[in-house]
Amino acid sequence: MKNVGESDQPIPLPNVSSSVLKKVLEYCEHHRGEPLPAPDADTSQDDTRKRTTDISEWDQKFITVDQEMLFEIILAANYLDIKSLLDVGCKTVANMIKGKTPEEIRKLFNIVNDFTPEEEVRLLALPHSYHQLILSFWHHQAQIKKENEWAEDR
Amino acid sequence: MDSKLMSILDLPVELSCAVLDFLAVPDLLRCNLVCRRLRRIVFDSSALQYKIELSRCRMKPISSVAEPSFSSRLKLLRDRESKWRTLNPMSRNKLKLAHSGTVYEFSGGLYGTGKETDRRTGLITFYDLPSVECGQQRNRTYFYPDIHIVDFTMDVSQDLLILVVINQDSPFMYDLHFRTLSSNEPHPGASSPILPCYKKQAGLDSAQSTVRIQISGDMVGFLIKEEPMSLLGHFEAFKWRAPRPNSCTINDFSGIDDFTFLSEDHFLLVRPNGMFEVYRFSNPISETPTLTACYTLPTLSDAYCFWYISLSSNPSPGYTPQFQGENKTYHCSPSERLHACSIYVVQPAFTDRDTVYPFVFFFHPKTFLNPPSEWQESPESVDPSSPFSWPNSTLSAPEASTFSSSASFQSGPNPAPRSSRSSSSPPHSRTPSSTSSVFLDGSSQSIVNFPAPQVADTGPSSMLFDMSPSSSSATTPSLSSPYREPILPIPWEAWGPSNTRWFRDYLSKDWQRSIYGLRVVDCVLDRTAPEDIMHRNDRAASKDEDEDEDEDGDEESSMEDGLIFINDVAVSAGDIESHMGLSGTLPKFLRLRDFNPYSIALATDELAMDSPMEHSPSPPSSVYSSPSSSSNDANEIRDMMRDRGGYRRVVTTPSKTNARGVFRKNIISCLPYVEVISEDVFNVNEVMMDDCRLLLVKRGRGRKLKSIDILSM
Repeated sequence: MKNVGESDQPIPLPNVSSSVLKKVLEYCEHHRGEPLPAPDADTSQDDTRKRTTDISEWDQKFITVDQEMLFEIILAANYLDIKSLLDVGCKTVANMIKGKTPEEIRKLFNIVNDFTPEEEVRLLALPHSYHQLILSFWHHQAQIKKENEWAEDR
Repeated sequence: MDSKLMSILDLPVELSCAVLDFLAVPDLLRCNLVCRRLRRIVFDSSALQYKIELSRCRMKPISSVAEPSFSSRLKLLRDRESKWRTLNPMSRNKLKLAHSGTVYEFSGGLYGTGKETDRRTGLITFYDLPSVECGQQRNRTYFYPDIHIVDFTMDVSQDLLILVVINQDSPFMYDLHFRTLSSNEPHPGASSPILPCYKKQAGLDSAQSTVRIQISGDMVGFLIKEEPMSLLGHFEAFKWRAPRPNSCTINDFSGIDDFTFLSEDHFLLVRPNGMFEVYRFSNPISETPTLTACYTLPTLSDAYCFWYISLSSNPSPGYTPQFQGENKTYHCSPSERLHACSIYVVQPAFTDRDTVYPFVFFFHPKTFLNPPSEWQESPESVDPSSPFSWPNSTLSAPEASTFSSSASFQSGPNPAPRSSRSSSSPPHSRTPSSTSSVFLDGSSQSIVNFPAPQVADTGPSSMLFDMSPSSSSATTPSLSSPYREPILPIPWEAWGPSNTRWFRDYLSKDWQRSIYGLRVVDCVLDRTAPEDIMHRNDRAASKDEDEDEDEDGDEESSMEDGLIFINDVAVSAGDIESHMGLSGTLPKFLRLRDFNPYSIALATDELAMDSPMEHSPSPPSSVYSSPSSSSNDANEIRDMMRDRGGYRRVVTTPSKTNARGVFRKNIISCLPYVEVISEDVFNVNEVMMDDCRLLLVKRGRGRKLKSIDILSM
């Protein structure tokens, strides 16, 4: 954008539709004059939980849109580099996922379950917890790595 | 429909990750099961994998850190965890020591040790220890010619050094000095650089007392106890950054053996009679904390009493730092920190050390924050708003009858559902020779008959606290009683077996074990082969049946849990070394016990995979049933396998700790853990640890520090 300089020429936004842009402008208008977040201020994950729930009332109302618009807003916010709006969008999607079962998540986003029945059995029948599901997968990787190292040691 | 054209899967990967990054780990793991693409996204993201891995390891990220990248953090974490799991260090260094002294402390990668001149700590040297990321050892020494330091503690993340100082000229027993670790200046965050604690009282001086101090974030806990009588216990918890008064105190004459913080707003006091009391303080802190729950230990047999009970954990619970030194990107989760409780029981009739019976058990602090559910439900007779209050003596809880045998209280309301001590038992005096018994009638329950407010000045309270002739005549106890209403103690049987794991222990001056997070490391002389365990358990079982065997037989030695027993008394390696006149140390194996459920699951998987025998989970057995739990032991042994990292076994079945008649019953406990015993042997007397290091301390004659080896994980 820097290259644009002080020009009266219109800035083309090929990736943002007018209805979405209208929404984005509404957001920017409301939040005009607020300080920008420091760059890289929240690379941490520690306060994730806090961040997830703390969508302000206005933003909450603003972002209550259909899924199509929600994802469009996220894309636009990313494209236009509006960090706070991007966060609001991402938080909203995350809140939709929160606490749902895999099947409920599929239904939510209209995702097709593309695991084969065998894979499903393996994924679900394996040990007692979700934790262990992925764990066993990693474990195989780690095991292979360990064996390779061991072979190298000899 | 338009809305179906776009979903989370259609976002660019980095935006999907941005969304997923807002999820907690359980949600992330569920996303893994939705479809291949989502699984791939989660799997390929270092940031998300790091988050998942941290959660498994019961760690929390330190948020102020932006470097290094998530992929290198993840690699470091995984490498380090695998080194811990196999007790297989990445590197080994020797710490170059300038001197050694009696006061020392190790936390957050910093080892501090004092040096005495004229029987006083004149200086303290701090060593920044090398680690895998940073190989430099740096030292700094601070000189304290003018003050008499009796103890110190530190918190690297807050650059805080607290010195406990005796000031002869002051009207207070101790001064706490708040300084910076980096420059030894008064700490800018402290409300005042020196905080006097506890007004001196007649007949009591600091020579007869010991102190314990713990830092947990903003909070500092400070305990002064009288030695050796331990009639007085003075405990203070305060915010060290906030101006006074921002503290709560508990002063009383029934004694306090030890304390620890459990969370940001709860702490635990251990009473000399074996009662665990959980307190909550408000914010801002009010003068008296609220007693929220009491827990009892297993019942002692007649003629035995607790000599000393102490707690240890590392780092102190309830706090995640924002900074923990360079290169530190995570810290163990504030709520997932194991505690060790060491218990020493004596028979008052004998006082030599052969009659001290040491035990140790491990527990999660959250055990004491979440009382067992049946004890949270109020019986009808009790105000439902205060689940632990028990305003009258009705024993309406269904459990009550199970545990009560012969309730014989002489005074006060009788809230205790369990009193298995009979009235004929000797006074529950913790100092065997002492004539001043503080408690009535040997009833370990009587201490929890907390006086109701209206009878606070007469009745039970005076009987409880003023019974001792010496204490009542010397000082009128200015009892700031935190007890507003009687609290029903939760009996051992209701909370203990499922939330603890017990072992027999030995008496030693050394740091017997070291804890970081959910891991405990100690050193053992013997790496017991599985067959031996079977053998010993058989013998232990047969011994049980045959309780009244003659004691004066030949000297018999045996082993259990890596301990060596002579005449049925556990002896430390140090004993053997001094007994044999060894100037050096015997080679020992390192033993790691990991109580992290993830480690247990991982080890179970690995052992099942390696084992030709089919691993079947043991049948769910009632904790209370089958005193001869040899079948369980057999299961346990099958799990123990030799693998390249050393010996490892998963212990998920209940164990029965032979109480040797000290407790009424043998102690059944079943907190699961993985045990790893090192392949190599080390010349070591004490082990200390933090997140990524083991310090192997070697001592020579007169316990003089000889050297410290650092194993970096």
